[in-house]
Formats: sequence, structure tokens, C-alpha cells
Amino acid sequence: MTQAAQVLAALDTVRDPELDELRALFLRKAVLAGADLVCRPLLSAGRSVADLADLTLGDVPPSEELTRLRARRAELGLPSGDESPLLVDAVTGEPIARDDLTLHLGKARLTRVGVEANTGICRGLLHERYGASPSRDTLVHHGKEAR
Amino acid sequence: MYEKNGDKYFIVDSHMHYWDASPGNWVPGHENYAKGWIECFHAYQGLGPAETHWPIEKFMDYGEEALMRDVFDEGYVDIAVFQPTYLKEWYKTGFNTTERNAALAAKHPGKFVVNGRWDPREGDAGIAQLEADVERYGIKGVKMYTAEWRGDSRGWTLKDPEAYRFLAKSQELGIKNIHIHKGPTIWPLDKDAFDVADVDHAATDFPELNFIVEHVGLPRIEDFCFMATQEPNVYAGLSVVIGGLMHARPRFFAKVMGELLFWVGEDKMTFGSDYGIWEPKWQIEGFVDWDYPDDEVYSDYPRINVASKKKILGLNAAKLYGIEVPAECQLPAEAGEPAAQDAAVGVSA
Repeated sequence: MTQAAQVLAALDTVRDPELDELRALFLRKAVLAGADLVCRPLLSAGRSVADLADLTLGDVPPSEELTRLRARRAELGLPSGDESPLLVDAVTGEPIARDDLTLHLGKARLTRVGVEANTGICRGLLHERYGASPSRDTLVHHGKEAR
Repeated sequence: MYEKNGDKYFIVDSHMHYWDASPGNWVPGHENYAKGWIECFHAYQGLGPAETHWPIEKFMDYGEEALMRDVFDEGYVDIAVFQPTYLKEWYKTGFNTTERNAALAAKHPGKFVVNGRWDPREGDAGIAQLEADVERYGIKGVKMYTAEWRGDSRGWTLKDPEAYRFLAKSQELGIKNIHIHKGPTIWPLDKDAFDVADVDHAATDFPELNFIVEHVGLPRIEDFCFMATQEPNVYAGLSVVIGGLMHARPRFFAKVMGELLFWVGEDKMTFGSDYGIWEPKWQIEGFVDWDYPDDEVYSDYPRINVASKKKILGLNAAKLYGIEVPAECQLPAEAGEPAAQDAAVGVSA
């Protein structure tokens, strides 16, 4: 078990309201960051931003990122079935209105960058202080090298 | 001043320190905190290029000679802004006080801007101290350290009514710039003290003050950016961003810069070396040479050019502090005025 997995496992054994809140906050950030991971390839493949408003989770080709996104949405009680909209508000679960799509995708990308940058700094510091391996995987995107 | 390819950059290092963390300054009984703090800082230095690393002994107390050489003689800095960090719970005479900074500034006229600090938990005595510091040092800016311990308290927020009293007093005394440390948690400080939400409230209620969020809220850069887009008087202080990421994590650095340029904008980003964590020389050289990696991942981000870099490295901070910039380093008129108050994007979070 990696150090990160051990920490997460330890967190799972603790049931503290403050920790529950923190876990929910991280999950919401993971849902936003995950939306970027799932949508970016669609945009690169030629879909327009407007197209994304009409897509459901079932319309998106299967991928590890999609599976993870659905699991996290389910854990937060957000819609996660095949018929659920691809893009939803990470707090209310409401579909994202067409006019708000660009902003929502911007926030999704920013959240992913924030999580990755934070992880990058933490790993760098762990390496400096304790000689831990500066592995390129991250807590949020297991095994997915950040580009 | 730094010159590259015929372009002249006026450098304002808007966030740097002159500290004493040597064992002789540790508070008896709190040595573990004093030692842990400086060792944690020292690990950050490891994120810079290997040839710029110092042994921990020098890092604890680098002294005047090294500072003047690293920052001015070799580091290209024209004006450096001293940001104090007191931490008197752990360091007898303080880690890095206004008094110590001002003494060095007095020996080198024209080189430094001396900033003060306040702590709302000090009440009336704190107000009196602030008035005295403004009178004595002509302070135009303050550095807030909301995570600082005081007795049983493990921190405070800008939303506290007492903090509002100090913000109002600061404004009344002619202070313009409120620098707030919102960055990576340093052991043993509490993580919650670095949440950026309190800046949002204060910036709205004190529109005449500028709020420079040092370290851009890392590890909450997304919260910071959402907030900064809505508040025209909120700035991104780049200390730790350049020092901690540009060399160690160049791809993350490119993305973080891209996001900041998109959400906050080049008129509201200010360079700070965070010396003595990192020397300014490699940061300035590297940043002037920097551009996004050649990859479509970065293609949506705003482009950066010589004018952008001139603003970020000095012109924006010069404007905040009313520092005169030599004509040869100013931008041509068409490049626009830096740090305009109406530059907010106005996007709702």
C-alpha cells in the first residue's frame, strides 16, 4: 500500500464531522477536476463546448476517468446514472446551463491545476525532507501523469 | 535592473525577508517549533536549482552581507519590500521584525520599502503600536499572518470585527497595501488559517485598500482565482509560485501561470522572491526567459510577452507603492497602464 493509500485508508476509519466536511470538499473538487479530465479529450476530438450541454454520462466513451467521476458523484449523492447530464453543479447536482458552460469548464480546469500544483509541491517537499520518491502520479488522478 | 535582449526590467521584489532563526533566538521550551519552522522553510529552498541551496546553518541566519549581495549586487533587484513575520511565541526577538528590517533599511537608503504588521488580537495596544510604527517608519503596507499563534489562539481571520477595526485604522493612517500570507501550510500552523474566504469580505468592504494575496492561496489557488476575479483590489503575490514551481515543477508552473493570467491578469500579479527561501537571481533570469512549453495543453492560456513580464517583475508593485520607475524601464504608452483598479473580469463564482 502506498503512503497516500495508507493516509486515505486511515481517513476512512475516522468519522468526525469536520473530517466528513473536508472529505466532501475534496470530493467536490475531485468532481470538478474530473469533469476537466473527461471533457478535455472530447473537446480535442472536435466537440464544441455547446455540444457538451446535451451529453449524458452514458454518451461518453468509457474510460478510467469517467468511472472515477461517476463514483465520486455517486458518493456525493449527485446524479451519476447513464441518463444523467455530463456536466452538473458539484454542490446542487443541477445541470449546467448553456450560458454557463465556458465558465464551468474554466473552473473545472483551474480546479484540476490547483489540485495538481498542490500535489506537486507536497511531493517535492516530501522528497526534500524525507527522500520520498517524487512519483509522477497524484493523489487525485492515480497513475495519470499530468501534462 | 535586469537587461535581456535590449529590454530593461525594473525589478521590485515585493516579498522578501531578513530573519534570525538561529538557535540563540529560540524561545526556551518552544525550541521544537522554532527548529521545525525553519527546517520546513529550508525544505522549500530545495525546490530551487541545486547550485542555489544553502546549508541549514546559513539558512537560519544569513546576515546583511549575503542579503545585500544576493538581492541587489547579484540579484538585479532595484527596490525590495521587507515583509515582517514576528512569531515571537517561538523566536525571542521575533523571526523577522519591522524593527530589524528598518535598521537594515536605514543603512541602505533607497533600497528598501519597510512594511509593518498588525494582529487584531492585540487590541488597543496593537492600535497604538501601529500608529507608532507608521509615525516612525512611514509604513505604506502591512503583512498579515493570520495563522500566527498567540497564547491559546491558533490564528484569526480578516472577517473578525477586531480585524475590521485595524483595517479601518490602517486606511486612516494612509496604509495602502495589505499583504496576506495565504499559502502552503507550514508546520505547526493550522491549515484553516490559510483559507482565502476572509479576503473576499475584507476586499469588498475596504475598496480603497489593495489586498495582495501572497503565494496566491496555494494550495487553494482555485478558491483564490474565483475570488480575485470578482474583487478589483485583490492581487496575486507570486512568491512561492515562481520559487517553488518554476524550476521543480515546470509543467505545473506553466499551468498555474496560465490560470493566474486568465483569471487575475498580468496587471495584478506581483513578483516576490521570498528571499531568503530563494535567491532572486535565478527566478528573474528564468522568468524573463520563460514561456509555455510547446504543447496544445497550454494553447488556451493568455500569451505572455516582454510588457507582461515588466509589469509582473516590477511595474505593478511600483505602482502599488508609488515607486518612481526610470524612463528606460517604463512601458510605451500603448502597452497600457499596469494595475488598473477597473481590471476585474467581473465573473461570478
